[in-house]
Amino acid sequence: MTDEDITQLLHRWSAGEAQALDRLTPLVYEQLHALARRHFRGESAGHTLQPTALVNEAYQMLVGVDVEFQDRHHFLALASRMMRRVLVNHAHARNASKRGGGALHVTWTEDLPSNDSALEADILSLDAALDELERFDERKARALELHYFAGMTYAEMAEVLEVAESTVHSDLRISKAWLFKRLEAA
Amino acid sequence: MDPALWRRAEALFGEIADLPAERRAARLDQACGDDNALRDLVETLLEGDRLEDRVAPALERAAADVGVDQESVWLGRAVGAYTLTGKIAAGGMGVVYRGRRSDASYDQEVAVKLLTSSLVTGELRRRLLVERQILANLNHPNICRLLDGGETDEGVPFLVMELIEGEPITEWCDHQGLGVRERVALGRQVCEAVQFAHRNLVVHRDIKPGNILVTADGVPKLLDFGIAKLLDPVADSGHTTVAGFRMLSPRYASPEQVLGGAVTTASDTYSLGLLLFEMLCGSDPFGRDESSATGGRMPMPDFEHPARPTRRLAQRDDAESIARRRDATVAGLARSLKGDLETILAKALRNEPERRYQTARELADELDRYLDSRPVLARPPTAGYLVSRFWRRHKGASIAAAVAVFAMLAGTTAATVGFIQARESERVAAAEARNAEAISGFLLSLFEESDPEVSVGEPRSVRELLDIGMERADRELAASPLALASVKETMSEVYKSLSEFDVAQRLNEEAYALVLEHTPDDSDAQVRLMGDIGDLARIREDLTEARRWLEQARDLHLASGGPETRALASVLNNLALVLESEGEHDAALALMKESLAVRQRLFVAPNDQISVSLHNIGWLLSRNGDLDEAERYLREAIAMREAVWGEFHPRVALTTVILSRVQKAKGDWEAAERSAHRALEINRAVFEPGHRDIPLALFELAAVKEGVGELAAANELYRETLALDIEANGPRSFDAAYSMKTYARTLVDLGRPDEAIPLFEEALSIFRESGRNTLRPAYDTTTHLGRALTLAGQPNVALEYLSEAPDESIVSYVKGRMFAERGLALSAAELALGRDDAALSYADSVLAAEEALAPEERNRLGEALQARARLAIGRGEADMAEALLARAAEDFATRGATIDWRSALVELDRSRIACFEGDALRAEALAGGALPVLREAFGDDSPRLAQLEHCAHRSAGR
Repeated sequence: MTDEDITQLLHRWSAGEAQALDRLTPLVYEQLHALARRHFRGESAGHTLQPTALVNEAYQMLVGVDVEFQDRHHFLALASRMMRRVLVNHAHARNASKRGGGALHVTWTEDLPSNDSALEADILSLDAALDELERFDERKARALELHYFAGMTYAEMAEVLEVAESTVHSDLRISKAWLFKRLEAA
Repeated sequence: MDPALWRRAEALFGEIADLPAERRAARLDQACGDDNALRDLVETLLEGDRLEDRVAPALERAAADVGVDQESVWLGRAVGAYTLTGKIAAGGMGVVYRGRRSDASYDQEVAVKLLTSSLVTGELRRRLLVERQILANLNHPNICRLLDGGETDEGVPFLVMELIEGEPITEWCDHQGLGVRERVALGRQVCEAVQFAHRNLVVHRDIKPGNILVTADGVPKLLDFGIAKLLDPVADSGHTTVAGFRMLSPRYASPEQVLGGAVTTASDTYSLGLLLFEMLCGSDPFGRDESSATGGRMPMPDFEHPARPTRRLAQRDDAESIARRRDATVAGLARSLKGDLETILAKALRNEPERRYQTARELADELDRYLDSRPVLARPPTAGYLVSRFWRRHKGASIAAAVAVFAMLAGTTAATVGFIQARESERVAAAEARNAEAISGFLLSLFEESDPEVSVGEPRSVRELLDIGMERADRELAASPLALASVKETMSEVYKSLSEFDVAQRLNEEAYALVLEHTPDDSDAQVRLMGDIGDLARIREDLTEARRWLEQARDLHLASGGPETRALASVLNNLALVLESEGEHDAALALMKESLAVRQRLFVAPNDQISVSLHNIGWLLSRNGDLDEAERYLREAIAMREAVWGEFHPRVALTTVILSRVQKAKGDWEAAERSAHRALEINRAVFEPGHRDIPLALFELAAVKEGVGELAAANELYRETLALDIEANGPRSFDAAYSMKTYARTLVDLGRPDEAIPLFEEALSIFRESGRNTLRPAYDTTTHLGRALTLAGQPNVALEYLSEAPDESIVSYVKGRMFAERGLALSAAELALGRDDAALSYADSVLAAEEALAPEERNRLGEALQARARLAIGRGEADMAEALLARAAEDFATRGATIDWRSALVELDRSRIACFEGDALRAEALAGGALPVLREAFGDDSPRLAQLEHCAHRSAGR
């Protein structure tokens, strides 16, 4: 798959072709997953590992800069969803491996097994909360996703969500307030 | 959520979120009326609006975690000096691998923990470096050692730790079927280790069964001391946290850790309480073991009301199997848990930190009392209350300083309680209880100094705090003399650990004076303090003073007729060291054996204190030439140290160094070399490069090479030792001077006196400048400097040095080797000046002195005979020379060198005689036998070899 193909897929998807999305999704997912792994090995220049940075890096790698704004926004929107899926799948995978891993006789018990449970719980409860929010206010759930997983600017979000920038502001404020309380109770 | 309700809440929230509080409340009332659902939702949203965003950082950690699991990337790779050989476990902070030292010939397995890099950024990275130093010094038999750390080439931070193969303590207890008392005894050991760390300014913060492994030998080992703090991003920030977004094992955490309070030594004590609770009754006081088994998120426990262990036991369906694993019936187990143990656990698990046991030591003592069936203490909170108040006020205070003062506080409070118990009069007891408060109040007020709001500028270092504390102690605790004494004693200990011996000694003496004045009949405290003063004097090389204090301490203990104590054993040990320094070897040995006997009665082997005595006895025996017996003790010490600390420990290396010396003295070169190698490998593995113990072991290896006769190799190793000594101790340190002198001596042997001379001069100036007792090494250096100067063609200068009369105080030492070498150097210088008679007279007197010694003390007889023989050759007395050389060769042969270059030199002398006598064939044969040996010893490029070859060929060719 060349860059050009991806750009075309993206373009076709923007133009409303659903099949293009089906082909694009696994590509974006794999790219994000690979980037996260590369980051841990320290092979990239960045020092921190924000999902938003990963998404943007994936964009640079998959698409390059020479596309229309429209396409870029669509890509980021897609990538934010995929980033969320990468993290959730990883948390699930770890939960699964822990349940099956009891047979090994311990020579060194890693600290904080419940720590990483906390980590997984964080991601899984965030995922669940976003799902819950989506059920009664889809646009705000989407705004949170774009904000946390793609690091979009307010202007970009306004365009993707097709609302005024001021609406993005108030959407994010109230949905964060709801989310923080929701997570606190989780 | 009802979408309609949500829309109404959204509208109202948007309207009032930014209103001033009063108007907001009014508008809320007005808009909601009786609609409680709307009111609740909007109020919730307003609360949420004020919360800090913890989602972004959590996502960052989660993203980092995606990469962590990739073991394939790391296996087989080198991380620092280690190659990763297998994955052990993964967790939220990173992955633990099994590692092996890449550059070593032996098998040292370690655990290498790679840390998720996104967690360790900037400030954390810097702290990691600082804290690593502290943790690396945490040497305790029950604490897993941090061996090394650093960053990989890609910048991923890692920690290298001792690899512990064991089982989590709770599982081990169950598998072994330990009874209640055995479990208490094991738990007590864990408390001791925690206490040790607290006194060393380290709080664990994450005590739980998974962090305490019991090895196959039944030794509990605490893992990850201080690591939780290094990696807990909120540990130092003082933020309260949104639940669910912090790194902590909530199951064993204290209430203040779960709820976001200050973490102190009392937090560890709480976790110890939870651990004990589970070890004893197989359950959690809040039933969290059951809720986590069902996979649910744990409810917030009711910290105010931990269940009693008997109650939890009664609630469990599997009570019978729990009891069976404790070798008891359910009723029997409940009976043992009731009463004392319940009381102890209840106190350890108090919700308010100030009402718990303040230190692990208090908890351990309490468990001791239980094991000894003495009544357990129930002490009302005094100091702790102040402590907690302080913590509430100053969450941002420098943690290091805080922990330091905490540790001091812990120590002094315990000491004061000891004083209280020793008192009979109620009146005094009441006064002392006030002392405890006075101490804590005083120490706590030191915190004010570290509080940025109170003192301007940088947060103060521990050292600064101590200095301030010292000044203020006298002023503010004058009314509570015993409190003052406690503070001084504790501070003395801290100063001693900072190598500030003068200050430490002064503080101890002041503490002693106070104790003597105010509790003249408390002999234990006096023995302890006098012993400490004496030991400090010993460290400062004031032997007379040291002896006086230590003898007084011993006599006081004997007079008191009390039971033997740990302090008594130390007093005997240190007194023995003093006596040995004063030349009273037999008395020293007897005392050291007495100290061993006391320790064997007080402690159960394997034990670190007992191993100290074994080591010291071995060392004393070795100094007196009782080599077989010395080796026996040293081997026992090594075995015990390995049992206590594991094979890779500096203490094991130290004893192995001494063992190497003993084996060398026995002429068992192979064993000596093996031991020296071993010590070097251990020190290289456990210390950072540049640590002073590495050249210590390297020197030993060089000495073995020299003894074997591999002079060139020894010379090279001494050179390396010197470089390391300079790096570790500074260019003008005593150790550097000593290596310098030894390196230079082998340079002379290799025929390079010109290079040796400036080194001798430098060493001599260091010895003379240093405050230590360096008369002997200085005398020795002067001798060899003289020898070098003569060989370099400056016998006049040599004589100036050599003729200096030795200091009176060392004349008694200057016999044997030192006397002989000085005489031979003088003889050589005189000979070089053409004054044959003077040369002869020096050589004769050395020879006579050597012959006057007992055979085993004649360690320069061969050299004396050879020197005398050479003079005889010069005088044409061939027969006499031959006879002397034959005896010299005999003496050299007994030294057991594998490459006997000294005997080879004798052969060359005999070759010269043959040459004078015109027997060219014999001369050539003798030289031909000697030269290969010399080449092997000196190396091909030795100037001395070239010289000797030249002479040999000249003799043979004539």
